Amino acid sequence: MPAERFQYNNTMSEGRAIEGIKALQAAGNAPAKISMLLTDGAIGQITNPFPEGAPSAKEVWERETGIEIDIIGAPAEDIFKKVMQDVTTGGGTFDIYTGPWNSTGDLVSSGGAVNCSDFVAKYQPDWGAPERGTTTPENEKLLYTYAGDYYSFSLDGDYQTWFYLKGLYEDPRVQEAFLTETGAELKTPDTWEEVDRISKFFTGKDFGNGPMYGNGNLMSPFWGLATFYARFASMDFPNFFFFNEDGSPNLNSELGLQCAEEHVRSFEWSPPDALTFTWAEAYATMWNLQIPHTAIYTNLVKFGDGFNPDGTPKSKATGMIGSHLPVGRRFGDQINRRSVLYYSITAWISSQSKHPEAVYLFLQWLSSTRTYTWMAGNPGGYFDPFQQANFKEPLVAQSYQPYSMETIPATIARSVPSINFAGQTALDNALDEELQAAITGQKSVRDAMDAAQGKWEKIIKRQARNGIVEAIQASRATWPTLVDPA
Amino acid sequence: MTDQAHTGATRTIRPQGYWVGVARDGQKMGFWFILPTFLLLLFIVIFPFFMQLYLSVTWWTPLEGIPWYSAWEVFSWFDNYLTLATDPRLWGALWRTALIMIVAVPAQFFLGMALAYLFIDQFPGRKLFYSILLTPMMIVPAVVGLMFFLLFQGTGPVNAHLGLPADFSWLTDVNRAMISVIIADIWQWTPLMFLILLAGMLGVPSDQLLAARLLGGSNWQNFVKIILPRMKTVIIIALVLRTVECFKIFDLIYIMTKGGPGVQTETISVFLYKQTFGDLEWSYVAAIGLTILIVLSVIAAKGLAYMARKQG
Repeated sequence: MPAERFQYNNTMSEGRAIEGIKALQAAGNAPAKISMLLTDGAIGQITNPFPEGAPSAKEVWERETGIEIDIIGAPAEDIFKKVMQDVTTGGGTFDIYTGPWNSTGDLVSSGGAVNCSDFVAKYQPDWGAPERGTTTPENEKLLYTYAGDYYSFSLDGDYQTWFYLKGLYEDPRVQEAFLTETGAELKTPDTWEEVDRISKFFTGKDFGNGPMYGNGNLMSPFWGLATFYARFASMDFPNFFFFNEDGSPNLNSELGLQCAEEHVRSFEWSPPDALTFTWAEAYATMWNLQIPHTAIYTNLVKFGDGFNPDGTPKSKATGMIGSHLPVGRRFGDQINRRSVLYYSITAWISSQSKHPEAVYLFLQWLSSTRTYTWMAGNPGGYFDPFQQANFKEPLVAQSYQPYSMETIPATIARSVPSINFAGQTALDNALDEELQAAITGQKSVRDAMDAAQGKWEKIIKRQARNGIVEAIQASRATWPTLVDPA
Repeated sequence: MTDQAHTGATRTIRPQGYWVGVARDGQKMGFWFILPTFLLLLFIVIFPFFMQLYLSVTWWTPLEGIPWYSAWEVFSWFDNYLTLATDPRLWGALWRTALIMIVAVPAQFFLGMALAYLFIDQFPGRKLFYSILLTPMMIVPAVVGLMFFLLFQGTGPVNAHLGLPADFSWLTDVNRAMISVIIADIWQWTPLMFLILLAGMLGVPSDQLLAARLLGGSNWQNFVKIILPRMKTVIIIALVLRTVECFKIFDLIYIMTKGGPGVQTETISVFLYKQTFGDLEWSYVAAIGLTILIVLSVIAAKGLAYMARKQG
């Protein structure tokens, strides 16, 4: 029975949250309603009953505590603008903000988020529980802390995960053509060099589904940064950091330039409109069998592999997709496979909330491993699995396909954080514009990376008084050290 | 009231006695009636101006963690103004805005004028064509942006109809992206120009045109000598309207290219939006906004003065 797997008692994280709320209610310190600003696409996972015959997460919470959850939706691209409006105008409209994980530094720096370290110590959430929580201790720090303190509540798993058209890779015609052209056997890539070789091979080929493009990775403004960061992180062993310990950027270093050169070159093998793609169009290229592989968000397979309730396949790629570990680079007899956390819906408690402790308890309940596993299995939204318990759940496997149940957690364990310091948007925009200029031939890679380096240095200098250097230093502890044998 | 009969000099006769009191009371009452509106107006106009001025001489951003009224803690004198004077991205955005105005507005004008000339006379289906022609300007600019975004995809209908390959990119090509945006703007706003100019043309007295024709004037002569001079005011209004709107162009570009590739289609509105909500550089944006306001005010004042001089 699924319900039993999600039940909890007062020795568990969810149970402690409910007990805590009851104590607050007894003391007259609990609100009647908690308001939550949430990305439109994720609301269904909280409000839709799942599985059939069961209540929704919202209903369970409201029944247990009597506290109403009022969810206000906003588009994912605009949600952080609404958050900042509420912070700067002192509107106090929401108890809970949600938005991209990358915006944590901006929100903390603006004074808009509550430091939850005391609540965490008091109520002991199971976010880092050895068998059920995050895949590594570094990952817990990465998702829930900023500059050493607890501010964020992870509600998503936006780790760029590698998917490929297994059916195509295993086609003898394709294997033979690859062997003839490259002299190597076609297998899932371990390194970026192999990725590029496969991308080059597939570009322009037609194996019965129309002409293909080899590079399915995101290359467009904003979304393409994830691809660049993942490649960048593996440039050195075990990691190549975006910043040095003193906060100086590495963008125009020798390895930074090499990474940018490779990234720009890979655009040759991308679909013609790749620079206008969001993740949605990128998904479609795999679903339409136009690309052989991509590192992208995990719900690619949730929405594009498997069958609809009426028995029709979700896409042309149904039954053809597989997943593999992230790629990296060979250093002697080891490979530093690296992926990246990019976007990932995250919640924060508004510093204007009148009941931060009660709000904290709701978020602890929602993000603890039993409730979250239940929500992650719900096909009603974009909250992706990321906790160990999620991947042991058959309902999650049903949505995200059994072949992903090992590769996603393995990817998470090898993932680095993208930028999430105060000034993040400015940092990302600066790099993004220069990368796009290089990709479209407006600038040489050298000029673009020199310019991006200059902009980053300027932003860091300006944000120094907001503690960006300390945040950069603290962030290094969240990078993985895991490497694999070659 | 004046009385010049006896003295020859102008003398003002003022209300006296009881009526003076009434007038004074009336003035006072009027003053009190308009005071709330006056204060509200003052608040709406003056307060944002001074707030902007105040922020523009600081380094304040929402990331400072202090409210805007405490921005003096990060006072920066005229740093933002110095930065904007040498910011290539800002000047680039201004240049691209000007480029769109220079190309799109004249194109819309000439197309609108030609279409309006065709529609002066009655012909079968005139009303239907008239309605069809006006449709583009009725569409929400964001929807037009989305339409052209889809039309100009490499695998989209434009390339298909022109026989161009899928990798012939419009929106991600450094030069063609701007052309695409301008085409979309011309498509949407030529109808407005047509509408205004047609109204102007229909206002030209038909007896004058008829007389000119009877005297042997050609269509071209009639157009240049009679129609155009009588449409002068209408033409100025149409051009000013479109120029101002072009300066503010945002939705179309944001949907089609988001200012890209790189910053190749970034206009001043898109730039300010990105700086405000992306980079959160609110004090810098305040400085830019204020500078633009001052520059445009000076231009407008000069323009008005010129027009006043012309009118004698």
